[in-house]
Amino acid sequence: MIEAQGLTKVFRDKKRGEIRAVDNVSFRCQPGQIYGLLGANGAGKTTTLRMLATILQPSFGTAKVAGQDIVSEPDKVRQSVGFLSTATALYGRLTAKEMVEYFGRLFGMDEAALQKRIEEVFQRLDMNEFRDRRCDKLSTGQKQKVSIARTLVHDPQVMIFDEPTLGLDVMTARVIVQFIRECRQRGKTVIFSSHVMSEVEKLCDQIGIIHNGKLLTEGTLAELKQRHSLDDLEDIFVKLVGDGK
Amino acid sequence: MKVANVGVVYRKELRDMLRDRKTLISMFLFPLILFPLMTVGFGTFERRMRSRARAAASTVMILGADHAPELAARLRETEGLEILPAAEDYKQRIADKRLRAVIEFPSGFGSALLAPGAGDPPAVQIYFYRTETRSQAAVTKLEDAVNKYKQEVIEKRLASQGMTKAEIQPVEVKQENVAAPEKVAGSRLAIMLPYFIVFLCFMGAMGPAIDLTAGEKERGTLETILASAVGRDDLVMGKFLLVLTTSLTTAVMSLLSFGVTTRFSREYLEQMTGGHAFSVSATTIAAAFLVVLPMSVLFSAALLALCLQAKSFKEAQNYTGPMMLIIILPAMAGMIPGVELNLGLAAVPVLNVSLVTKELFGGTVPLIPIAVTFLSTCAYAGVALFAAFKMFQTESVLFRS
Amino acid sequence: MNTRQIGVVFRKELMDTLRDRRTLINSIVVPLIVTPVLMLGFIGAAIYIARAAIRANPEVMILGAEHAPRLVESLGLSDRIKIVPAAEDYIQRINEKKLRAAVEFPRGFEENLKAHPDRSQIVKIYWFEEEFRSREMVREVQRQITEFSTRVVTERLSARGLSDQWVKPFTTKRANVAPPERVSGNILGFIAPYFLIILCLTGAIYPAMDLTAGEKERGTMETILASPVHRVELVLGKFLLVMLVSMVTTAMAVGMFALSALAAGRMFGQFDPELVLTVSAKAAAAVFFLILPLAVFFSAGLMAISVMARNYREAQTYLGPLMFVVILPAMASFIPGVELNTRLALVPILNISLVSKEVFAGNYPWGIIGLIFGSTLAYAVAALFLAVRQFRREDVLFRT
Repeated sequence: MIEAQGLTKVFRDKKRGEIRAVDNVSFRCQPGQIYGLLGANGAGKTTTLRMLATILQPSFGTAKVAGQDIVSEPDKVRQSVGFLSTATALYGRLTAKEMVEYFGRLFGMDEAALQKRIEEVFQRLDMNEFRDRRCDKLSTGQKQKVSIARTLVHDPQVMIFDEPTLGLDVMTARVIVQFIRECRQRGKTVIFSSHVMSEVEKLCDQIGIIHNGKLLTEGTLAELKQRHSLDDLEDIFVKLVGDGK
Repeated sequence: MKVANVGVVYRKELRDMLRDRKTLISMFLFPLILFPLMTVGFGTFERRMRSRARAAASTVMILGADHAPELAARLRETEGLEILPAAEDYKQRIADKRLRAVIEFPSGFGSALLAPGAGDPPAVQIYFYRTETRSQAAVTKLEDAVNKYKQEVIEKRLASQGMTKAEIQPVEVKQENVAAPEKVAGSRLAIMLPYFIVFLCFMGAMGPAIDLTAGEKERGTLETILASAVGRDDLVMGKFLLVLTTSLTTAVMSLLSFGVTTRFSREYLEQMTGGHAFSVSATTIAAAFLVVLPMSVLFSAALLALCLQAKSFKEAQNYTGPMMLIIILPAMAGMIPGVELNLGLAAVPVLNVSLVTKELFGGTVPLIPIAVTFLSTCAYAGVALFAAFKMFQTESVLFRS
Repeated sequence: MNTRQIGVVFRKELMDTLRDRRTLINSIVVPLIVTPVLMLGFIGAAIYIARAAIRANPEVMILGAEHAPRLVESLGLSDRIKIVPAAEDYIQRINEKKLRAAVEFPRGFEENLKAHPDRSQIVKIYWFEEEFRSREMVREVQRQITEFSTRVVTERLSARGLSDQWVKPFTTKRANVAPPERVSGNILGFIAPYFLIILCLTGAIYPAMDLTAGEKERGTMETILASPVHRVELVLGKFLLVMLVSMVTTAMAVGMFALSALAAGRMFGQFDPELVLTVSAKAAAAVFFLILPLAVFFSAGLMAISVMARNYREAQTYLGPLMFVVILPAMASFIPGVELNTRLALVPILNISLVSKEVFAGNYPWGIIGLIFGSTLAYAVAALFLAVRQFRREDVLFRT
């Protein structure tokens, strides 16, 4: 469960003065649901997700992730969160297995449990073929799988994805999407950000449109269509972003 | 090749570079402050240390003082010597640097002085710590005092025989320096300068060379420009000219900085020039620049060709590192005393420029070796430039993955 | 703070670094090769070339040779000097380094020696001051003249019935009493500290950049920050790795330096037996331990600075000038006769350079050593605090 309460992030830029990257954002994600944060580049999606993952600290407001407060108990929050962002950043010189092991250990898993979990995950994601190959020698699709494995090695309750399919080819993107669906199936709380309408339409139970740091609207796809009297998500988006500010 | 296109590429790269703080620092700021900093900073520190060392009295011990009471008394009165009481452990103390030197008078010293010519003269021993500066300074002070006394004894003897000093010093040798003063000073400075110039020239070229090749690949802009209407040759020429510009600017800034430093900080240069006035004539600087020019071309072209092989900034660094070492060795070889510019060495790249600069700042202008250096470096530069052009035509180099 | 987490981070960084060719080259190959090449190759070449240069073309001109036939004859016998015919342009030729020196005998030199023993005859030697070959020739000519002079004096004294010991009331002999390691240590102490400090620094630079700016550039920074490891644990784990690499480099440098010095001593010892280079294991070990706190200081400081960079290139921009800030105080060992006192002992880097010099020469000023060790550690801890603080700042970690 994710419960954002008035999340605000203020940046101080020398030239531009005070910038509110995220401005008083509140929303709720239920377990077994996928929440989609839809917005253009620079809208505040990444910053919001980073705050939820406790990578950044909110300037004001707070959120409850998996029952813990991100401001007062960030450590506990991190234990329950799996974070995946655009850059499928892997340590090039480590093998796929070593990569996942590293994070498993950081999450405090004991060796026996970790190894068992690795077998499980590698099997499920069909990764055994390249488990001992260095990450910089993997194809994009294989790298994605390693990232996914890394994300759920500690079996987190909450999954946070920041534009996970950005720049991926169709086949690889499908792997990710499939995986996101599986998370929902297993009763995890999932939130992901995107600016690709079709993806959001297909996957999300709840959609939140964010622009200039503010949450302009949220609801199911049907609710949004009705509320804004438009049949196309893209049209809704353009209308809100164009008129509203 | 269309000159107009070369101009377009060059101007863009120039504008780009002028907005890059890092290159500006290494091109202008760095060479400008290097020389003054080294001479002033180092010079002041060194001078203070030296004056302090000179002021400090040397601790010495006298053994067998009763064998030579007069001389011992003389030593006690000598300024700059602090006489400590005699002790057994003098050797250890010298080695521990707690005692600077020991002078020992043998028994029979006094009687031998009174009976000249009977048997071998007594030997006074001075124990010291070789290579230790302060010990050696103490030895000098001791020997000076002792020699003065010796002269007095000799003079007394001469007087007793009615002889003059000239009788036992038939020949007086006077050393006269006939080298022009700038040459003398330059001779010392010239040792380090060539190395610096070569080094800075290379460094000036390195940054932009990496940036304009591997950097562009990394940023993804290389592909775009290759797809534009600019011919490959124009592209290479434009980039090459930019790298050359930075390399030369760095070299010019260094020479300028060097010239200004020598003009305004005479006292600080003292240490390096042995107390002689030194200033560089404009012709020397111009001549030096003339020789450095083809070397800059060589470095610029070679670096450009080399760095294009790399996929990323990091990889390019892996290549330039060893190249820097390869350049530094011949540059340093020029510093070895005894390595002189001759026709053979004038054809060895980098080493020849190092040696020519050494000659120029040492005040000599050996025209033929300079010409050979200039021409051979131009030849090497031509080869490097050709290689650079070739590289930009090779797809496997441009599009590495 | 969880030591287990620090261990996890450290072990991963270690594994990663061992697979990084550049670090291995920097830390192991460079000290392994560069040291002997510089010390043996370069210095050896310098010695041989200089000696050969002196022996080649030792041309000396004699002016007024007709006034000193006996002396000119003995000069001619010396195989170190080659006499060239007198000419007008000797000053120019000396300036051009084509002529090493010119000796001028005044009119009636030898006649006056016989006829007027009460007057000294002045011989002028024209030379190129400071030029090393000119200096050698002048020395040789001086030697010959002195020998000749001594013979003349002996003749004169015996004519009066006096032995030539009569003008030598006593002789002065110098004797070195310092053991060979100390003598050689003094020599080594000039260059070794500078060299070792620089290698310690360069050993730390690459991993420091790689583990901070490199992490950002690769995009893995964000990922690891989302994991439960604390900032402090992360910094410490990385810092331990950087320090390890720096220490390995330093150890290799000290080891290779000692070996090269010993080899150089054996190879070039023939030229001056008293100055044979040798290094004691104790001195080498002591210097290594002295540089250790410096390794800590460098590692922490470099990390604190390079974490501010967005990528490698920027990190280089910051660290480049830093090298010079370190080089200058490290060069303190080059200055002869600097006395280490309590004030200097507190100046970072400079103090280590100077005290290493002392230690190489076999001197162990324990009080000062303690002070230096302590102060460097203090600076190191301060740098570490700074590094941790940097890793806590969002604007440093996520610069755009």
